[in-house]
Amino acid sequence: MRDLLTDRETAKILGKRIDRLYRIVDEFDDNPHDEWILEEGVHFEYSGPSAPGSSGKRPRRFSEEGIEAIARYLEANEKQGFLSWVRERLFQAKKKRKQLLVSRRITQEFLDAGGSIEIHGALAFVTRKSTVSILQTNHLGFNNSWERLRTAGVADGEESLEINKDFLEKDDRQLLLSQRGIAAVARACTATAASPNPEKPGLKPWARWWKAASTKRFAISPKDPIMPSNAQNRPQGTAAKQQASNLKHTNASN
Amino acid sequence: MTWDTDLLTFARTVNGGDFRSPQASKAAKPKAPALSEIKTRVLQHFNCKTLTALRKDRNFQLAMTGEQVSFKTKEDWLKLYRRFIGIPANERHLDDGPTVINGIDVLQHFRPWVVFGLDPKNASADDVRAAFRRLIQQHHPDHGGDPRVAERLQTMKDSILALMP
Repeated sequence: MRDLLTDRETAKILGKRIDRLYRIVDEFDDNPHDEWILEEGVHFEYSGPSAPGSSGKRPRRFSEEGIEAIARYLEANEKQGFLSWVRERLFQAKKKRKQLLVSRRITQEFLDAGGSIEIHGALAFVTRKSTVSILQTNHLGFNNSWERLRTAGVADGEESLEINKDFLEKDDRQLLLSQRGIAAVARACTATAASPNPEKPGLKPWARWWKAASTKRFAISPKDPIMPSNAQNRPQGTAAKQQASNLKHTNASN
Repeated sequence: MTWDTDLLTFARTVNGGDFRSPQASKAAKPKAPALSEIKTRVLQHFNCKTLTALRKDRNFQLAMTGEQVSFKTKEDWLKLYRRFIGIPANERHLDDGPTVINGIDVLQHFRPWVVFGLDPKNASADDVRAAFRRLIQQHHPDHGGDPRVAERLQTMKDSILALMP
C-alpha cells in the first residue's frame, strides 16, 4: 500500500498555500478534455469525507506523479518573472523538488517490492518494472536507455554495466538492477532526452524568458492597426506595408 | 661528402642512432589529462559545478553505493574519470603485459568490448564466447596468467552476455 502525501505536505513541496492548491486542482478538474488531468488512483486519492464549509470538496492525498503534474502545470501556466528566475537559480527549488520526489518514490518502491528485492551487501537489486516506476519513465524510455547502456564499455564514455554490481541475472534470465544500475539508467535517460530543440522543456530559463518576451513584443493584438478588423486605423503608405510584412514574417517564424 | 653530412653522422654517433622527429615522439607518449581537466569532466558529467554539489548529487551518491569515495588525490579523481568519462589518453595503446589486453589494463578498466576487440553493435554471443576462449587460454593461471585477470575476463564475458537481448 503506497503512502501518499497529504494536501498540506503537497502544498509545502509546491510552495503554495493549501487553498491555492485546491484552486489549482479545480482548474485540472474543470476541463477534462485538455492535457492537464489528475486521475484518481494514479495522481491522488480522496482521504475522507468533505469537511463542513468546504462546499462539498473532499480532501485529497497526492502521489509523487500528482505533485509532478501540478508542478508542470504551474510551470506552464504561471508567469515566471525575473525574480522567480533568480530565486530558482539560487535555490534550485525545481531540482530539489524532483530529488525529493524521486528519493521518496525509491523508498516506496523498495517497500512495495517485498519479495522481489535482493540485497547483496550495500546493494539492493530490484526488477525492471520497479526501476521504471522509480525513474517515472515508461518502458520505451527505459529500453532506449538500456540499449545505450548495453553498448557502453567502449574506449570513450561510461564503463559497461557489471554483473553483481550494477545488475543481477536471476535463473529465468530476469535482470534486477541495483542503485548503481538505476543511477546509470537515469543518466542514460538524460543523455537520450537531451536535445538542442528549443521547443523541448530542456530550454534554459533565460531562453524561455527571452522567447516569451519576444512573442509578447511581436504578438498582434486585435487592437493592432494592421489587423483586418481595424482596417480603418491602418496606417497608409509603403512604410506601413513594410511594417505589416515584417510582422507577418515574424509571426510565421514564431 | 660535405661538412654538414659529416656533422650529422657525428651527431648520430653521439646520439646512438637516428634522431626521432618531435611529432613521432609526441604521438608515442600521449600526456595524462591534467587534474583540472579530470575534475571538470567528472563534474560536467553529473551537471555539477563544484565538488560540494557533486557530493550532494543523488545520482552520484547512488552510482557510488557501497564504495568509499575520496577526492584527495589525482588517482582518486582518475578512478572516477576511468569509470564515467573514458580511458585517459595515456592509458590507451599500452604495450602488452600481464594485465594489459588490447592496449588497456583490465584491472583498471571495465571495458569488455575493447578487451574482446568487438563492436557492440554487431557482435553476437558466439563472437563474445570465441573472444573469451582465445584470451582465457593466454591468461589462465594454469598457463602462467594472473588469476585476477582471468577472473576479470570471466566477469566481462558474463556481463555482456547477460545484457545481450
